[in-house]
Amino acid sequence: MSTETLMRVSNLKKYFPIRKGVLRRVAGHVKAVDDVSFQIRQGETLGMVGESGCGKSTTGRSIIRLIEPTAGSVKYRTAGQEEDIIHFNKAQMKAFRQRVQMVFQDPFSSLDPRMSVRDTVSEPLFVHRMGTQKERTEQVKELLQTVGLSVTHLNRFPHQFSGGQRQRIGIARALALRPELIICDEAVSALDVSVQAQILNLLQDLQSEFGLTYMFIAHDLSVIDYISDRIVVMYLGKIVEVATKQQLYDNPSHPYTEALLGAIPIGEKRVGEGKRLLLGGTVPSPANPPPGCTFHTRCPYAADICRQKEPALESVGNSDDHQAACHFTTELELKSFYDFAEVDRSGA
Amino acid sequence: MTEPNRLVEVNDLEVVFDTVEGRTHAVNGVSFSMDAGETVGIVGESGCGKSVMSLAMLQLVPRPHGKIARGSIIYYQRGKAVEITKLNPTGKAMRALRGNEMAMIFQEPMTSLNPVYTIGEQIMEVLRLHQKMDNTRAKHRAIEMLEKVGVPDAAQRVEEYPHQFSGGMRQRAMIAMALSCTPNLLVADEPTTALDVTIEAQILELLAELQRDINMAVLFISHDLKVIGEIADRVIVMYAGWVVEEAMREDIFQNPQHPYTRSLLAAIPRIGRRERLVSIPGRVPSLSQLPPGCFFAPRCPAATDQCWREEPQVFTVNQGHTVKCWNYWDKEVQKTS
Repeated sequence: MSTETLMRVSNLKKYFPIRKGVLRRVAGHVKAVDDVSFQIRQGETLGMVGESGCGKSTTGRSIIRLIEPTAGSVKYRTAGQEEDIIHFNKAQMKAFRQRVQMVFQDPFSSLDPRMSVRDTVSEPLFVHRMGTQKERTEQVKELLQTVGLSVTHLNRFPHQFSGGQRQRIGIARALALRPELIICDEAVSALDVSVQAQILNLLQDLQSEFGLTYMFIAHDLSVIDYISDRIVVMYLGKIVEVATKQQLYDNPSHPYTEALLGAIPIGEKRVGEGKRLLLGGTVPSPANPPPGCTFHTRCPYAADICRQKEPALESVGNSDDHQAACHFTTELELKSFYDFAEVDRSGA
Repeated sequence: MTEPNRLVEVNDLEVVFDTVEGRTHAVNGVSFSMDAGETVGIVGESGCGKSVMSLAMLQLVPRPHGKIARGSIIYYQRGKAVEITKLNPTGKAMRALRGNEMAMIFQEPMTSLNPVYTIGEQIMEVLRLHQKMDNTRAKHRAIEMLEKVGVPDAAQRVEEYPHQFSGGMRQRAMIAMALSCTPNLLVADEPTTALDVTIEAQILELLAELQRDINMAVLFISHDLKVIGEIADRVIVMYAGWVVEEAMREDIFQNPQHPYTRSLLAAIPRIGRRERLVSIPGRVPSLSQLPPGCFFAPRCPAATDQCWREEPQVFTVNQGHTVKCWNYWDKEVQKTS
């Protein structure tokens, strides 16, 4: 894995207007993504984790302009040059979309029920005018084998497949244009455990085979841990922590990360200090986020400054790889995942 | 002879659905028992019959397509055996039990709450019906229950409608409703699946706490082995309508015997573990096209000729630990006999 930056997202914002009344006047904004900056490095898997409504999916969609961001820049490196895709015109966007593809959560609604596997997987090739029809069919056959489906499936329709197989079709479609970056938005969340393992393994195999870069959006911290190299933790439209996988689970630097780690079910009886840490309350509405640090309403360590001043995302220690947005990063001694997962092995 | 603490006994239960593709067996010869105050977890993938099993406990199998074809569920009402499966599902006797001594919570609290009644009215209805309370007392009790499950400003929120509650709060309201008559048995079908991880932790903790308070037995259904491991005393693993393994929580996690249980455990990503996940090839069979012999044989790494031909028997590993697998018999039983 190189440390070369493939995509540089700076100060990205996406506000959705709330309209009210007969005149549909804008009464406020849902700040789904509020000033988010991060980088995706060539060849890595960047995990993005957070609870529902934290803006992780909106971020994933905004950086490839499936949703038009309100503000910010997304610089993508092409042939050694960084270009801001926010200013791309239609033709440039189309060329860009060959490089970046997406795999969605729900394999039931992300495939057109009236299109056969052949049509679904070859559609991106057709749209980008690649090869003759015959060549495209050959390529689809190859792709199906790559993702572990059979060539005999070519003329079947989505309803004839199971959830796991459908997700494979979605992955084949994303691979068709030989992209550099694939954004997986909750790509395994709808699948059964045994099938989820198949798809996670497949994604890893494809990554080493084609040198892919992934941005992997998920709410499950165990899945994120398994697949990611670096992890971004989001809360209420903001990034609260960025760290390598090791740093995040061993040495979390934001109280919200600590709470997430403490809430992971581990399937065993916990003892003493290992008892789960419980966060009170629920995520506030992103239409009316609390002032100061957005996490202060649920944070067990919140002080006066947290209610007034918003913390910036700053480096933890000397490491550029580890950043957290908390006023007390250096003072707090947060528990690692392993502190929570201390289990009772005596069988009592 | 029955144990003095016995609360529920399920014997050889079979639930079938008549569909256009023919008769499907959603629950296929399931037997287990529960003691008072015990938490039993049922785990399995989609289509394994765990949800139908939970519906059957309260005679809620959707009619007319579904029905209990064979077997029995016995509920011990203050030591007296009541055969649930003999009761008319919509009859007076069943309705007196359901929601009163036996209660249920579902996965999606939005669809199980009525959107046009306030949360308070919905809890009060249960109390008026089963406890014959008047409005004042029922309301008092509803507020008390909401406070108990951690709904802030309960006296005010009792007047609110379900859409004004967040997902976690709705699930709390559902739990308040289910527990308002202090049931002896709570059937919880994926109660935390739709919730975020921090809220899930809150709800699991709450359930465990309330359970200790009123000594209620919980049948907890989930697809997530790790959640089951946090809450259950005993675990039942289901596959395609069968119970393939049953054991105390520690045994399931430390000493799993069935190849399916082992694969499931190896397929879960675990934090800090770096090895490649073990995936189970293929998928859960369709219940209308079950293979002969063992239903797991087509996906089993250890399947033998016998597995393809004959339905496995249930073998006892040790006290309270049973497994439905020929391999176990080959390895252990033959060796000693």
